[in-house]
Amino acid sequence: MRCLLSPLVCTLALVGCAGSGIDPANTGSDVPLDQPSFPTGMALHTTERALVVVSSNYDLRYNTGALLVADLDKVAAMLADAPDPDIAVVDDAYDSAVLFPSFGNRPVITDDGGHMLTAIREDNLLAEVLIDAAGGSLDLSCGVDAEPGQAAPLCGQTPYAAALPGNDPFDLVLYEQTPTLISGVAALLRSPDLVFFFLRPERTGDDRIRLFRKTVGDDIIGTRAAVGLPGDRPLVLASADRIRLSSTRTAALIYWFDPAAGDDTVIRRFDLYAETGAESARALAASPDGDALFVLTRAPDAVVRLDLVRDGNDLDISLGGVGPSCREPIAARTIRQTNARGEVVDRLLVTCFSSDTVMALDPYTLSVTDQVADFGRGPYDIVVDDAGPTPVVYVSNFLDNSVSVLDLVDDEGEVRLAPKGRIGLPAPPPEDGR
Amino acid sequence: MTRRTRTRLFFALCPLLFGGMGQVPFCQQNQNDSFRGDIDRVGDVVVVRPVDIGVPPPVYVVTANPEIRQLRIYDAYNRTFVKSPNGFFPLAVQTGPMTTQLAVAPGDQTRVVTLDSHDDTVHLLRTTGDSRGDAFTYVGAGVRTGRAPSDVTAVLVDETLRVFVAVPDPGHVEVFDLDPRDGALLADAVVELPTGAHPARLAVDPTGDAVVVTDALLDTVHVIRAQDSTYDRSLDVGGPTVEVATGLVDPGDGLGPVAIVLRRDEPRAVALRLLRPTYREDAYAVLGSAQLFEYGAAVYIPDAADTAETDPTVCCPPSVGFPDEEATKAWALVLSENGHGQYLRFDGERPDGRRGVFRLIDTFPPGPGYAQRDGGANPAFLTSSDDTARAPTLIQRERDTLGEPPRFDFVEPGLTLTFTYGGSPPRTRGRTASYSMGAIVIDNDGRPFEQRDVLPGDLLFIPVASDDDRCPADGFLQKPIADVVGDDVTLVGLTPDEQACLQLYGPFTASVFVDDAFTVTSSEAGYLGRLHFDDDDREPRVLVQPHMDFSLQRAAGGPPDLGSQVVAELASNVQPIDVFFAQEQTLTNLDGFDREGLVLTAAAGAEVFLPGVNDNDPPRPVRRVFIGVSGATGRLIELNETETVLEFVNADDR
Repeated sequence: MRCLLSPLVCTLALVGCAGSGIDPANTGSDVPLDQPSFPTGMALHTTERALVVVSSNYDLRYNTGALLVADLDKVAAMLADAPDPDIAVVDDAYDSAVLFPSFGNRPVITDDGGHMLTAIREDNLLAEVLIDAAGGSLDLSCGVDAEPGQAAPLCGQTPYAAALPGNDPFDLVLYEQTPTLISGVAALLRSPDLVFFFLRPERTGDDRIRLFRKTVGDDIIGTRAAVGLPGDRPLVLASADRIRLSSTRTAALIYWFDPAAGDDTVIRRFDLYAETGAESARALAASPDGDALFVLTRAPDAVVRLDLVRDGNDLDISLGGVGPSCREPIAARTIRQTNARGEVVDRLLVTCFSSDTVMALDPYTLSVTDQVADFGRGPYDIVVDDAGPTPVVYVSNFLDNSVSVLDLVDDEGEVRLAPKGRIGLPAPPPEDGR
Repeated sequence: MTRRTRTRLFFALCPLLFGGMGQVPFCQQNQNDSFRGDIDRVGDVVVVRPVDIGVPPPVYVVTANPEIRQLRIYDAYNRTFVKSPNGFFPLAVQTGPMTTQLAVAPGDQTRVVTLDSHDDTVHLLRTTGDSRGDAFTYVGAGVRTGRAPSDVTAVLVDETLRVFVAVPDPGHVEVFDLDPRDGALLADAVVELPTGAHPARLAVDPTGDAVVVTDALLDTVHVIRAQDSTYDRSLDVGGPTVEVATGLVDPGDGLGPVAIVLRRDEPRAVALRLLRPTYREDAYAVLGSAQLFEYGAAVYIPDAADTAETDPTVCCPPSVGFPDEEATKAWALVLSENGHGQYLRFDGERPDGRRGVFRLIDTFPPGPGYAQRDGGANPAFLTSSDDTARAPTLIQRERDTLGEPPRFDFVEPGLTLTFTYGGSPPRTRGRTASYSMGAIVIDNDGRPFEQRDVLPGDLLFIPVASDDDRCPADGFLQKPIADVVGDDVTLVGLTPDEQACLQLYGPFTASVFVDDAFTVTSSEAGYLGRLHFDDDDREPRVLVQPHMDFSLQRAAGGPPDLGSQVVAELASNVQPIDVFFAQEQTLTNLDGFDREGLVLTAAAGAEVFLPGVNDNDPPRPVRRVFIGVSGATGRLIELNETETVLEFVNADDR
């Protein structure tokens, strides 16, 4: 692997360090493997019909968190003719799992489906899980066997994990994938730095994952999200909060860079606060054509469209619209479908944590076209599966441990969000009902 | 004198200052009455005055609150939300999951049309009780629209309520004729728009003649004749648009219906003139466009017709130094995406005195020119040598650059123009290149080199460090460019030895410099192009900027050193009236408007009545604007038309 940044940085590159982050002496309860605990991120497998759900164990009730794999064919079959989405529950969808450190976030899976990488906030880890799809179902592993008494191997340990030099890693973006090298970048929620990582699948020692960090700017409090922009040459766009008046009075910022530029990597900025008044920028989603970036903001809660024009490996960004959103928008995805009349329909899907809402918006007018409310508490991540017989949306519900399954196309062939059922029985609300 | 003191002084002197303008409602208000509402994030706002009976006649503000799936009704006279029958809670009209858009037909304010974009339904809401139901109850069962409608508007055609619904996915507008008494569907139709249309918002003009349809993808807005539901034309507004408002103002040659659409791709408002039946003119036309300081989020245009109670409002209450010539009844208020409110006028003046320029109202209208600097010259001449005798002279002239229809751009505050003698067009310096087949081949950076403003006659500079006799002894090669095709650059006078040198010692770096000319960059827009001396026979010799142009005069001592620069900082020519609704810590409310940020979603206004100042005084008519806000919570901001002082604006949330 060529050294992408300066020799000095390479010299200081942090070699993947031991970092299980899990106290083996912890003798609490084992995390269930048939339902997530405080599910956060999700990822669709890139070659198989499977959904990976991160069980974050956010309240640390269990020894560890977990990664669970749901069989989507089974889910589709069981929900196919369910008459009432409110009671349609698939409770045995998870058929594979590994134990994993708590506080895992959204995983990313390589194009060949063989590796999954996840950022872990509390322990500041980048953890790899190997995926074997040879047998028809997904087998997860990470170079260790399950301990006696454990239902699954405990992942998140060297050499399949590396301690990151910064707090609260969150989003991961893969920008280069070859059989011998997987390159990506990790965004840190509470650090002015980015961490570039390089995973060499053929290596089994401490040099399997190598890291180096690059400072975005001294005024950066942290990077909230990052996405890759499709194109011949990948660009990474990220949302960040920068210091405005103080560390508690922030300003939303978008920055972008060419991750493969090596020593020439230049981080460019777009001042979202100046254009919209937003204090904090959160999740990002790029349009299918790569000509727009959607940003979820807080203070105020809003959806922002940014128009992108690529000029070689550079980018021109301009505001393309602002629309109100539901309360505490947290995740966004774009979709493109064709309806029954052959019209191409673009939508932006947004989950809102506080208002228990999943919305669909017209990406050009930012008008809300669909809203599914109160079908899962604390909706967190959202993924769209359009590889099945009908396109389906999955939403992880952080507060009730279920995954909502929503239809994206109705019986008349119109693009319309509608509840279909759930993966896992939702946990009851707290006794006081609040 | 503090701003508050100035403001109080203004209100004290207001009748004297504006005595000649007739009734000036903004002078008469005590706007600090607070009210408590109970709303959530406001999707849309309409104002209705259902009946003209009673003292005062009732005026209600209906707000759509999709987050709580309800409509709430604000009583503009009592300045409180209409209560539910039990008296403990505000009246809540239940809606579908996503009722965000509301509409009222000109001429029939007894009905509000609601649009639910999730359920794809239109409902009618009665705003006054009748034999079939109480006020603020639904009329009929509603009508189903196409999937995912984005906006609604309505017009009264004879006794029928004609409802227009924008449906972006198929790119058309649906029309429903409803019986306003029972909501029955009498007829429906579809108005097809041009191919590729993505209708966003709708507005019917106050005369009920036309429906203006913005388009979020095409560079045009569409006009539908409301009375026969037919597509009339599309008007080029230069880019995609979303928000629209209509009103009735005099743009300088007579009162008539107008519309403003807000571009979504740049901070710009475009004004349209709609049908004035007695005028010999094109029925619908672009009146002009105005650059804004921020991207527009919503817009309000008043009804500048007299009523029995009030005269049209004059914009704007003066701040210190507000020029008299800027006072106008033909104004509009644009709300921006980042929480500002700025006033525009339709009847600005051209340099030759003609009216009809649509632009921001300017509180300090100096002519275009250079910025005042405390120290140092402006423009400044920067050169590596001390030979100022060869400093070129930058000549600036005032010029009417508005065009037809007028397009008003302002000079950005702090805008600096830099003229570099022998400069390089962008991305033409230090480019990796090689020699092949008689041409210098530039490595492609995503865009062909021929698109980099490289012209025949420009100089290509290639450093070549070699002892080879065939290479230039001074270590570089500089030749005029003969032609550029794609990434291939051919040079004038390249000798066989030089060709061999380039072939042997490539790849190399190549840079382009303009010959005996300047490159011009703007601190705002980047590279603007090249400029030749005014005695050159090559074009261009004049750089045209908003309201002025520039040329460069060669000094008697000859051209300056290569790389010398003339740097000119320009004065902004517009100082707008700016009400920053999202400003922190500026209100009597210590939290200010914006502890959590604002998204201004809608604006509507009308003549309303307020209680008299004293108990025995009659109700006072006043023209007011209501702004819907979304953010962490919902708010309704209430202000008099043309209010410019944030202190006198009310806002409250749930």
